[in-house]
Amino acid sequence: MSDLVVDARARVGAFSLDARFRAKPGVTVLFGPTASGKTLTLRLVAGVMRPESGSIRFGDADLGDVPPHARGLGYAPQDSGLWPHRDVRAHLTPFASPERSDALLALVALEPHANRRPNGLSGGERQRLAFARALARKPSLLLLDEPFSALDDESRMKMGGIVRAEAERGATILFVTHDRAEAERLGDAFVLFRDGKTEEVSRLRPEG
Amino acid sequence: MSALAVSLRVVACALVFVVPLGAALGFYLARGRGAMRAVADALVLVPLVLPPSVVGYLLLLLLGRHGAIGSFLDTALGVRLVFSSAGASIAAAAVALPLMAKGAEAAFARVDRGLEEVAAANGLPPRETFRIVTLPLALPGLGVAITLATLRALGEFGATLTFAGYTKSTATAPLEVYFAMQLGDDARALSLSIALVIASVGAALLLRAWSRR
Repeated sequence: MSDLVVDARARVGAFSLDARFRAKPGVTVLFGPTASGKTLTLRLVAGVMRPESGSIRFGDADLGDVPPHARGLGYAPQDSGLWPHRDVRAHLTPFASPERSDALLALVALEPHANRRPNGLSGGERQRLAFARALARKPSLLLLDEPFSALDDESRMKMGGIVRAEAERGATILFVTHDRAEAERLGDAFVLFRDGKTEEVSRLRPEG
Repeated sequence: MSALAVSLRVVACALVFVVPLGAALGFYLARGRGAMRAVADALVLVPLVLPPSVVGYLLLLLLGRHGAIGSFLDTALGVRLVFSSAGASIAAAAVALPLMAKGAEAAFARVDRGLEEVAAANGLPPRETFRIVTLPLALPGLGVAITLATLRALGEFGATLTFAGYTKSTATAPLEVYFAMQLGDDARALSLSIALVIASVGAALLLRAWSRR
């Protein structure tokens, strides 16, 4: 049961990010307009990019000293990041036993597509696969970047239920979304992003 | 037709070194940074842009019986590369390595880093990420590089003649064509030439099919 403490500065081109927030176990929704720094923040926490200054701590560990693969993460990037040369099931088998891989495919309703390559999948199917891959190692820190934006309402509800179950299991989850209803449904806490600055709030204010 | 057998043997021995070395060098060129990389990038092209006779001459200075390394090989180990099949392989490897390295560099540079990052961020160690993501995605490009390097090694003439000379065990097909022609054995020159044309066109077609997969 670990808190994630982000206190990091980073710059990409003309954009600069100054992210400061604490995320407790449960679902912390990162909310805000496009290009406000949400994806960049996830990339810093994932360790695929380094902050210019500051630190990212998870529990007792300073993640700055830990390479990405050893951070105990699950990560579903915005573009899903699927591997074109591997079939659906082979996205899970590097991370989980064959039995668990099959169970995960069933969980996200991709069993019928187990032997397909990603280019044969719809946008929603691609997102569900990226989500299942992020869950595969039962991560203690789960990073989901607009994971369900291409899903219909029904499967969005179903996947949201899985996210809640991960939260009950004790995972610390950062969930990026533009969808206010989804944010309110899933979030235990919220971090508002605006122009690269962050603000912790306990609930989303009404629009305007 | 023993010239073709010599050629195949020389090329095969050269490739045993050129493929792994060139692939590793290409990976470094694609991913490395800083001054070391810039130096390696410049040096790797040298055997490709120099006249083959100069490459052969430099090899002779280095590895010949009186060369810097060659004299040591000769006195300490009794190994003589000049006039040997191994020498011909070294000459072929020297000119083929740049093509392998630059081709591999392009192959690795085309791999989407985001696809590697997502592997790492989900818990795959670097070695596994390379095996599961990087290498398979670079494979088509590596195939092209191997084919080009093979063809260059197969067609090697100048460096081989200068460094390894023309003997029974270094008489590759390109050398045989030249000396058959000089000796007026037109039938032999022609039949070997036709064999080389067929091998080259076949490889080019294979390359085309591979890169269109």
